[in-house]
Amino acid sequence: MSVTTTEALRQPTDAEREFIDGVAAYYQMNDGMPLARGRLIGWLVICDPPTQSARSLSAKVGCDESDVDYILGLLVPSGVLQRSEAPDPDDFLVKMDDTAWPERVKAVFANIPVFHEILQQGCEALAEAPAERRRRIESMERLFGYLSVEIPAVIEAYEQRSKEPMEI
Amino acid sequence: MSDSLPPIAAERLGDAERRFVENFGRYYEREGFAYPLGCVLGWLVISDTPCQRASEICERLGVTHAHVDRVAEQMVPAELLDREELDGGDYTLSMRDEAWHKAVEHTFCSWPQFHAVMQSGLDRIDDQPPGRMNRLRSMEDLFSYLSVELPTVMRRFEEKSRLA
Repeated sequence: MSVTTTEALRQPTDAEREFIDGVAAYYQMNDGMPLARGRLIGWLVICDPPTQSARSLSAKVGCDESDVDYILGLLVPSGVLQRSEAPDPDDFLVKMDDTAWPERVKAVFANIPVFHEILQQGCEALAEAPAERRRRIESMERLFGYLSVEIPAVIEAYEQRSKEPMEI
Repeated sequence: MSDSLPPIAAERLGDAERRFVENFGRYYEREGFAYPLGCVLGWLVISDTPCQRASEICERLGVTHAHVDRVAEQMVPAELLDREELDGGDYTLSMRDEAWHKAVEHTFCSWPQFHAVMQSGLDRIDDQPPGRMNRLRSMEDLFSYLSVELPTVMRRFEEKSRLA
């Protein structure tokens, strides 16, 4: 799909701006992320078409190319965003698939039991270490031992709910 | 996917420590982080002492200063790690005992706020061509569920911890 359409070049509307500012404020407050990077994430959720050139993304949300690179470094390896070549060799294309974000969240949650096993192994590795040194990993092991049981159950219930026919 | 830390790390970590740090790195690599970044984070979970100089971490794990800087850039604002500047451009990173617990709790309990942003987006950005809002709609559906369930999961953990 071409990304040089009029739609791709127009500036965000007030409602779109409100949304991307809301996403940015959330990430700044909760992860300390600079606002420009959060706006970029927000825009990638609602942009039309879903595929945008890196250059047009920078122009739309008012961020630097380094911000685009940072967000791609964060979200391409995990599969939330896809990066591909652009017709202009100095530019590239970025896209978020319709279900990429929820699928990513579910994949992270599905791996919590694996993470817990690694933490158990770490506790064993420090079995003879002083209590003060063990405290960090023991605290994590307790939490993720709990989450490795609870979270898969939450996701299973969500999937089950999604399969059920909607009441009219 | 990387298999192991550089040989220098084998000389400066015990076998069990190295296995843990490498497994941590591999786990984070599967989650989309560069392998050395996960190793740095894993080391900070078990390091002795909890407070480590960036230069020491590089020497011990055989990772670059850029790797440690990247971990600091991502994890300090998220309050998983504390950073203190030292003379000469070096700095320390440390993980508090309850840092991970606080970070997970904070994330789960912030999701109702994230969901509200998505819901408002769906309400406000109307009159769109078919399919445009699919990304936002699929996120809103999952987060509407998780924003109720996950704070409850954390509350049950707190209750369980209090009774233990």
